Amino acid sequence: MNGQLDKPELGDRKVILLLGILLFVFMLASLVMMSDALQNPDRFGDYMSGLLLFNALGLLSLVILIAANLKNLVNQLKHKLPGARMTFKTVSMFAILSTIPVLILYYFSLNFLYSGIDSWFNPNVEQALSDSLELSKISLNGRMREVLQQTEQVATEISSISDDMMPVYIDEFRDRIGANELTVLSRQGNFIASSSNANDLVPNRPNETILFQLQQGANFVGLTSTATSEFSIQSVVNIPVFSINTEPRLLQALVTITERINTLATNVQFAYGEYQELSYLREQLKLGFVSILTLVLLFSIFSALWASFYSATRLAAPIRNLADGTKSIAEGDYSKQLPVPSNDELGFLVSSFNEMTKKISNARDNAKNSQVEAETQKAFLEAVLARLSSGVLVVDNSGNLRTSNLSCNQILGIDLANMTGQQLNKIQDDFKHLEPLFNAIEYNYKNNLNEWREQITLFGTSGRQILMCSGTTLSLIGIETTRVHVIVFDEITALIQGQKDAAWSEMARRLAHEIKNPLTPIQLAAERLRLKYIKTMEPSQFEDMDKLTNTIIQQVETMKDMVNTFSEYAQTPKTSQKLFELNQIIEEVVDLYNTLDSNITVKLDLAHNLPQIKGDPARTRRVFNNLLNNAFEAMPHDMHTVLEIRTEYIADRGLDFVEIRIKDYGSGVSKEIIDNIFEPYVSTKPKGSGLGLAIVKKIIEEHGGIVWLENNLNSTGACAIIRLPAVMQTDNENVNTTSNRELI
Amino acid sequence: MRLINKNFCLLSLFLYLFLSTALVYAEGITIEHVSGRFKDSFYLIEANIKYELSDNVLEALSHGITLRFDMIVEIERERKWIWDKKITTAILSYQLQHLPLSNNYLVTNMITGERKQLQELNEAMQTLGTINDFPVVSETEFDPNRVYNFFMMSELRIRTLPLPLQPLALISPKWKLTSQWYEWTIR
Repeated sequence: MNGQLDKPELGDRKVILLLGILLFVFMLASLVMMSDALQNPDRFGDYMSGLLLFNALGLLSLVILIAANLKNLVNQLKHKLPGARMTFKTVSMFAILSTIPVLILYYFSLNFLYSGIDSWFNPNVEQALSDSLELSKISLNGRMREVLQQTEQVATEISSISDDMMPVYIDEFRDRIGANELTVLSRQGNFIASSSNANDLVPNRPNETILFQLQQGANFVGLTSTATSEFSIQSVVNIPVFSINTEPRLLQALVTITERINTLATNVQFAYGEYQELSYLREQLKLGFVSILTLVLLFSIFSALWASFYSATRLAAPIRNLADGTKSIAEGDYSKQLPVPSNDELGFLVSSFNEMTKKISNARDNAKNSQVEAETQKAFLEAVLARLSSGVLVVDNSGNLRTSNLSCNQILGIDLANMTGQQLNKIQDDFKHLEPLFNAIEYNYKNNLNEWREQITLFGTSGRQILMCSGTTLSLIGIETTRVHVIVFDEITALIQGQKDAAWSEMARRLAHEIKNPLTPIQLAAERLRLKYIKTMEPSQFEDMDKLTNTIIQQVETMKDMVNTFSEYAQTPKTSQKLFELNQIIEEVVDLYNTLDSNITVKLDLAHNLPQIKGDPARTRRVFNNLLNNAFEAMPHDMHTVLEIRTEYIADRGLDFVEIRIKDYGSGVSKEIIDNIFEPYVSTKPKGSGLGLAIVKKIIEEHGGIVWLENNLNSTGACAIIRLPAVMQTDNENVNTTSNRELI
Repeated sequence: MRLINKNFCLLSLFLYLFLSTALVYAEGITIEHVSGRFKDSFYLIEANIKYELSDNVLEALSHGITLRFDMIVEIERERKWIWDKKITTAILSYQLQHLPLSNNYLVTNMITGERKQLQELNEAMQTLGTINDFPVVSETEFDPNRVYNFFMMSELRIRTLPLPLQPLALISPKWKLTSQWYEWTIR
């Protein structure tokens, strides 16, 4: 979408405008022609129907156009499209401004038209003419009755005259009544005799209606006009039947009224007819003018309405475009360029909009480039962080986890990436073994320690872990300054263990080397000394000699044992890694000690659901040997006591291990040495080498476990607690696979 | 598309109403019978035409408006290869008016000037519709070997009405009193 106005839309608008103008011009021309035809039908009268039809169609087209526009506008208003309200207001304003004056003009025009045309006619004149006509009718009716009476009288008189004699007497009778024409006819209308003062060869014959009326027995008198437009009275009567043999006959008299009356009656009839015609045409004239005026009114209103729709749409188009443009920008399309409508204020506004979008687009591009750069940097940083062997955590001031790298997951054994944004406390609830780490982090950031470093020991699913943590506080400058805490930690369990082992091994090796070598000569020398001089000594000296040399030999033996133990501790034995049942190992070891002292009862409480342990069963057996040995030595032998051994599988909120508790009821361990009881040369026994528990700790740590000693709370004695990581089923499978591989 | 269909329907309805109305009122004049004969070197026709005036026309007549009816006869000679040739057009005009004083109807033959005053409108209409021996064309115009088609119709001449009445009469179907063309052939 390039934002430009579509060319077809522009083309359509032009076509509509052109069609509208053409329709307007043609309708105007047809109205002019109709108006002209109204005054002079000779010119356009033949096209009157066509013009009317054209005008009707034109008006219909305008109505359809307006209806379509109105429907469109209603839809726009319904959908709250931009510019719809403005279009509505503009159209309403245009409609009111154009319609009201035209309607006022129409109203007054109609008034003037009606009053103007009506003013041509005077009611008094109309009444006078009606009265004149009535008067004329009364006057003529009197004369007609007179003529009828005369005719009837003559008819009676001539009733006795036969048809043959009738021509002889008829002239006399015509002269007597002053008729123009007197005719005797048979009942069927055949002439019998006629007398006339004119030169007409053929007398006037009464029409069939009159004859029918006479045949019915009713006489007739009426006013008729002659060929010269003069009024005459026609009177037709039945001649009384004189004898049975006489045929029924008719007598018709045509009496011309006097010239003066004739002229007056003609004038009255003419004037009345003219006035009647004019009066009738007045309404037609009004109707014609009103029709044309109404057509012009409708044409004007509809044209104005359509023009108002067109103008309003054109006026609103830039606003609509601006709204569309704004919407596009809101949707992120900054490439929108609007068509500049004109050089007016709207054009300036649209130009400014285009300029603005261009600048925003450039700014957006720059921002995008910066963002790409930042994202590249971020990706780089993430790649670095991901490949760091150190775990990196970022926590905000509220204790929410912001970032963590891959090494975090690997070291801590949980997927911290999915917990980004969560509170450390919540994560801690789900993963209990992380408590020491999170407590340390929380303590440091709550106390605003900018730089801190601490060694933290965890015991989780992967066993005992020693982490070296260091943290710092950074201020991120963004919309608002945020303080975050970056914690970097490394797992140094293996390192420390290695260092420790190496140190002890070196020391043990040196000790063995430095001590063991002179021990044999000392022992040999002592034996030689004993062998050589004991026989030569006095019995009193013999005992001393025997005692001293034996002491030297025994102590050397003891030292040799000690050196061997050190050698053993210093050596890193080849451990086999395989799965074994811990309970079985414990039971085997306990069997050895069960019969050692009858006063001590070993109580086993072994869990049935204990998962397998991965490691070296022989070295594990050594652990329990040492611990049980220590426990038996620590317990009193002169009274009956119980040694409790309990195993338990603990899997809860991130913890997954096997715990072994060996609880004795001996004298316990003093507080001074309980923390270092597992260090070499720390022992409560006078004859102990101080390496038994150290070896235990070493083996347990080799298995990823942890061991510590606690004094019993409610009784004497102590409890050795061992935690070893449990092997899950998948791990089990992996081990099997590994074993298989080894076998192959 | 819907708009076009609607417009088309409206236009069709308008035209239908307009034309159907016009057709209904065109039956106000009916040529019932026409016959022709040669006499005295002329072709004379006799015809019976039934005039039925609409209310508007009757109202105008009663208000003194003079009505003129034309009976038009057209004669064409058939031609084989091209259109028929028009021989002549004969027009017989009658004028009908109401006389307020006598309350009679006056029928005037506009060619002969003959006037007939009749008491009833029916009589006047009958007089108008009765054509006797109207000479249409001279016998010399006819070729005995050719075929001639005659066309006859009658109509109310609106153009002879008073000026203010003409526009309305031109567009009103009630004023369009025109008969169908009546045809006959002479061989």
